[in-house]
Amino acid sequence: MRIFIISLFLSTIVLTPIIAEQNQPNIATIPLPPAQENKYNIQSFKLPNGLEVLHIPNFRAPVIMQAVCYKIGSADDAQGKSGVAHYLEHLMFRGTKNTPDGVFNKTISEIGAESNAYTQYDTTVYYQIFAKNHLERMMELEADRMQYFEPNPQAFDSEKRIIIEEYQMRVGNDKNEQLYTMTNAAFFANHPYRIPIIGWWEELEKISRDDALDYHKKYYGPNNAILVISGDIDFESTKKLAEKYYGPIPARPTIERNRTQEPKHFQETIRVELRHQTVSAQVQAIYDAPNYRTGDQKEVLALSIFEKILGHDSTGKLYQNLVMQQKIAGNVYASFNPNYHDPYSFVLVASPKTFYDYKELEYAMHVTLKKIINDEINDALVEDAKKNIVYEMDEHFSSLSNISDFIIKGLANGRNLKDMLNFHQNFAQIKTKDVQDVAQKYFKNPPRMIAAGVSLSQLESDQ
Amino acid sequence: MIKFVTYFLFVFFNINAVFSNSAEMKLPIKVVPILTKNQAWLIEDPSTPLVLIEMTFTKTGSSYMPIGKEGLSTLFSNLFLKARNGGNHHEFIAIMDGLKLKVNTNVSHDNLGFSFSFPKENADKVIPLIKTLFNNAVFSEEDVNKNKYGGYTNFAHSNPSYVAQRALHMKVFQGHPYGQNPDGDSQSIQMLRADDIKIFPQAFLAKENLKISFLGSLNEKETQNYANQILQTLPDEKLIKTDDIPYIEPKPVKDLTQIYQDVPQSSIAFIYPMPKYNTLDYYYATIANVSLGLTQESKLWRAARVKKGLVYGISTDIEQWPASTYLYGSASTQGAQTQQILDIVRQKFTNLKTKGISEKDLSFAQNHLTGKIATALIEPRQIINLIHYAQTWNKDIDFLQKYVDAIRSVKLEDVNKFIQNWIDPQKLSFSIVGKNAGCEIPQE
Repeated sequence: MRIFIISLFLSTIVLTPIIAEQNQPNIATIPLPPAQENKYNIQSFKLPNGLEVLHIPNFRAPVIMQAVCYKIGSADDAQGKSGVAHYLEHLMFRGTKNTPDGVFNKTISEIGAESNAYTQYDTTVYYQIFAKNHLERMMELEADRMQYFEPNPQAFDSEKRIIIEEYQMRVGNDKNEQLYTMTNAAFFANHPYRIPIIGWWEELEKISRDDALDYHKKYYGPNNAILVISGDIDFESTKKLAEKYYGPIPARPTIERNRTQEPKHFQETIRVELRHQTVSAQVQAIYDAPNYRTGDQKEVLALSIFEKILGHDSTGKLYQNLVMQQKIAGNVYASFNPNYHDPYSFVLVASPKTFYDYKELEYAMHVTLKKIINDEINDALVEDAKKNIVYEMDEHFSSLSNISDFIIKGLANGRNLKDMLNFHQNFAQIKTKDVQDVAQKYFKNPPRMIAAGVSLSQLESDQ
Repeated sequence: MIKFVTYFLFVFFNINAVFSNSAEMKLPIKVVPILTKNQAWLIEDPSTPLVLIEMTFTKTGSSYMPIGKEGLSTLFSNLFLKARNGGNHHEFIAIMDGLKLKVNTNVSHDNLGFSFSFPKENADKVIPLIKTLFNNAVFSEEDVNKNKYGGYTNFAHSNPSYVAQRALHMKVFQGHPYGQNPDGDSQSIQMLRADDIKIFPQAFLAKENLKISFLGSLNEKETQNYANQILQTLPDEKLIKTDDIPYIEPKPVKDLTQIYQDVPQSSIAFIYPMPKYNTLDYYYATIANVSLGLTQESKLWRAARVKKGLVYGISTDIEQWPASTYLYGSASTQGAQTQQILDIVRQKFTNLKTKGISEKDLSFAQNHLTGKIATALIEPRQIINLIHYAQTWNKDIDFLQKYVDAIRSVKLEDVNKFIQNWIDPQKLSFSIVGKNAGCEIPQE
């Protein structure tokens, strides 16, 4: 969840180095894919304190992105303390033992950098984008808050008030977000993915200063983090600076994740419906689905191909059937993200063409899906879907922020670099039969949930 | 042992720019002559598999529509991909998707813009397809009727921030084309017909008012070839001649504009007139705005967010349109706190007028404004947007250097003189959307 976008700058402020330079530590290497399989020239290594470092070169422009990802997110919040991961994310901008409150944001603003952070279910990421000559200062500040977090005492209350404003902006004012919140709370019976990243309001209000400080002490060590430096800088310089600023930070005790997991789900379909003027008209069919870390890799890859066959823009089978032939939907798409730490879901979303199409659309989605999984998955569709996936990934990786985000999330959630970068070869190995099998396995039963946004303004315009 | 991998893909071009001391700031833009008197701007970037094209037709935005046809350009933009091939837009969209051609349209008060992206390998099929988009507009009356009321009727249920902004625009620009609803009004929308859409390309989309930019793994010759194909069927001149719309300074609105919405958090918008773009005063205003509300070090941010925790965000920016320049600010806060935000905004404007800015503020603002250019270069889409924006505003290819030089040459005494003469908190106009009974425009 994004918290801020800083725009900004600072070359006139000279600060005493926060972290003393020490002898360079030895560097252990992580296995890398062979060069020919690594077209993005990504290199990685691990510092002795456990920090994984990735270097992604791109010399298009004199700009660099630094991202630090902690392998901890809102789904790791202690019971009754929902929202603490996100609360800490806010406080991380409010000062350290060495850097008074305000200096971080002032530095960012003064050099014209962009800075942001976001908490997700499984990870929390802090990043900055800036002109290349500021890398050292940015590393110094990011390493400082990893080791010496100590916010201004006044920040604990004011950041909580700010989060309440954020909650109102994202959830209170937004009926689509309320539908999403209700849907997740019902879809997951026991796993913490059922709890909003920002937290439940009532629990958020009770989180204390000590909760945040303890959380940082427990989880924000270098051995629980990944550093990515991407952009206009060579590998050797990245290595030297990473050693200088992050090398001296001591490792913390290793923490094992201890999340409650989902029980076996009942087969009956659960329904959630939100009726309002401002909710988007939609019918979602939500299915259980595996993820990369705990699932069968072949199944996950085959499901990714099936997602494209169903819902890849207007060439997808669902679109062609529900929008073009039956003319019952205005739009339809499929969504499957297996990059979560624990299994998440596979979602089909369709928007009814008129208010009167809701019921019929739900039935039509079901019948169409059955027909596709039973009769229509063939070699041509599978090969086309593979091409689309590979093309989209290549396109996505034209952006420094996209490729950084993809790599750190994958690594943080148990994938290895080689697998992630070998996506061309991985998808090439999947056969039509594999896709037919996963489609039967995961979609032969009705969806575990139907979530509907019933738009009353659509009713008005249809009348 | 560290493994080294030879760089073989990313060492393509290097935008030669120095950001900390602004010694030099140059983008590798090539100017390619194309059909008739036009020119295309090109940045070669082999690191992306895509070709990106930006096209803008100037003086074709919502403010330039003929009297009685208000909303026409917005409707054309909404229908642009629909009703092709005799009305079956799904088939047309499927062809586009098959070629991985992505198209976006953007209509502003002044201009109508189109963005295209596609894989280089599909260029031979995509370019002729783009060409047809501008000369083969076949729309059914049914499609027009189904789409023409969309934005107009949904306005009341729109996001409160958007409603606050739109409502205030309509008030401060009342009587001027910028004050019109881009979606049209109830009478003009009723008058829009399929024939209006059909004739729209010929009437408004011509070589004479086109700006076009390219980015991707293509050279000057390919750029010329693609551009000439696209332009081939465009008329040299627009059928409907339009005069420039008159320059306007937004008129302060004394009464608070309040719109009720049943939401827990209210949205606040405020507008203040600013000096005309590209004057010296404009640069002074730009510097002053950094101090007032542009960054997270600004007076507004620190007062409303850091010190009081009243908002998640509050910011101001200077909006420059061809016929007006103004400061636009926005914030959101829970209903009961709305008056506090209005008071803070008013107070910070007053402080700016009475105290001006310091030498430190000036240096900070100069570094901020020149340093932030780097963040606009992180991906191909941002880079083409930057150069196309410059071309649309008739700038030279060294526009970045000129901007940096202009910002760096600003003197403190000039900024403070400008603030003294220009800033008058009485000219602030506010709107709020939410549940805010009892709020008032703050006074001295």
